Amino acid sequence: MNMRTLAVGVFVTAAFCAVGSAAFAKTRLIVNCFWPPQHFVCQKVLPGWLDAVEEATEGRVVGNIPPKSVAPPPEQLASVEKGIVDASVQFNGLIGNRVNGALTAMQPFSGNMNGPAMTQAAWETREKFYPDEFDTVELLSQWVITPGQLFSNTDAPIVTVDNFKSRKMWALPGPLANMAKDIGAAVVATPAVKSNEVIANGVVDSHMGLGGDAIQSFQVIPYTKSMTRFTSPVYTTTFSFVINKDKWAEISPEDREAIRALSQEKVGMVATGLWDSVSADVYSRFDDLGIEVVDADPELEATLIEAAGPTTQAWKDKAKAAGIDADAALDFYRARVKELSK
Amino acid sequence: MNMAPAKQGAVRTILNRIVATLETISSVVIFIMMVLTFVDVVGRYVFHKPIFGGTEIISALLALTIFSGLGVINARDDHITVELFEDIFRRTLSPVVYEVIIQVFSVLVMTLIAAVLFEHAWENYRLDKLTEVLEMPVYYISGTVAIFAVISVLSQIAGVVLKVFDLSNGQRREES
Repeated sequence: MNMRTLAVGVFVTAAFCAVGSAAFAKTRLIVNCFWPPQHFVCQKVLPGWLDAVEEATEGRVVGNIPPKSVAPPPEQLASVEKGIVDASVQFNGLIGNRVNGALTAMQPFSGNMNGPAMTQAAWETREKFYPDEFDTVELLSQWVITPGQLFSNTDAPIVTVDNFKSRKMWALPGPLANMAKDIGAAVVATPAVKSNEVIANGVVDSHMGLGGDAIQSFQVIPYTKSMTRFTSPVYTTTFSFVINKDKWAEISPEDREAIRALSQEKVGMVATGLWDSVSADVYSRFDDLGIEVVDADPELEATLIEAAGPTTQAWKDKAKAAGIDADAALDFYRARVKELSK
Repeated sequence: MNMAPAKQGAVRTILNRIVATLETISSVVIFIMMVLTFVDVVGRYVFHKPIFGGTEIISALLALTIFSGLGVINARDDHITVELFEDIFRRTLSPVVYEVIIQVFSVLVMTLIAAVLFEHAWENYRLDKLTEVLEMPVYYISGTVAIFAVISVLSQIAGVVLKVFDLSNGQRREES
């Protein structure tokens, strides 16, 4: 074999390999899930999105979910920005110093019990008022979950303002903890994942901010005796599903468009639907669980609404400083929630 | 090791001062944690006025306690050790070389930890990250922790130098 034949052979082989590998090139996404592995976001929502992405891109984009979260909840956005993982879900309440619009749906007394309606309204509000708020990552989906509620751990339910003031209360950090403190409750605020140790150990005799799914996930049902119902739920939380910009750029424009088109439906709407159904299931078992449901005294609701005022105003000021028409965005969101819930 | 006695004395004095300072800081921080916990519990059950964000403050103080204590442990080489391969190395290496290898490795690992902590603190500062309950800047804590980690590395290096010197002195005495 002379040198020329050898060179041609090497060239042909290399070209064949290059064409072959290009034809089978796949983008593999590592999608992090910070909930416990058995949670439906890790078991259904994110795997369902990956299946849909693989199908829509005809196998060119695939992915997997690590068996255990690679970062704590507050660090999800940072872990995507750094490329530690390619995509993840971030609880927006933990990045309030970086985003403002994403907190619109988290303003107290803005939501209702209809997760899909709130999620759709939040998505429309984002598109109308702050479409490019996430500039360090690509935002694929956002959703709003079933509201957190007020519960009593004693046989006496919380109905009046005096009942509320007399309680030692675990509350979700942020607006709820601040409101409860301002009204006069003895507040212990910790992240939701640590609520069990405070509630189960009897440090408090009430809790505010967990929804139906959360009292089940965090195993506080055995300590819960009654739930106080308001005409408008006090507080809802929102999440964002984001993907790393460099990884996103690796994907072809056609596949990016396909992924963008399906993500809100396959992540946001599926997640909020599951949250609603799990919560509804828990609430439907309240009689068997011995949990009483009572209506709040109108004065208690009015007091909470008043206590929420400074929180909402502070958010509006911050959002306006960031160039968002916060008044219009919040009005639009609340109006759309009502329309979509009819 | 041919370090002059005067220099050894200076290193030893500096190390002792660092250790004493870190011990004082640790003690004060632990005392504050104790008082905070006491006031929080009494406030909650007796006066219906707990310390808002008490759990968060105590968690932050715990981080400071750990990293101020780490400097003391490093300087005294008081870490818990697991001697899995001790015999093999002791048979083949002189005590001084053995100690130098182990301590240099420890210093490198501790330096890496300090560097990562500084990176973390810088990121917290750059992104203006706030704690969940009190919404205070996270870099107050992570920055202090990073500084303690650097002090810890320095005290570890000083401790290693003195230990190796003492070992080589002992070896020389045995040989003579």
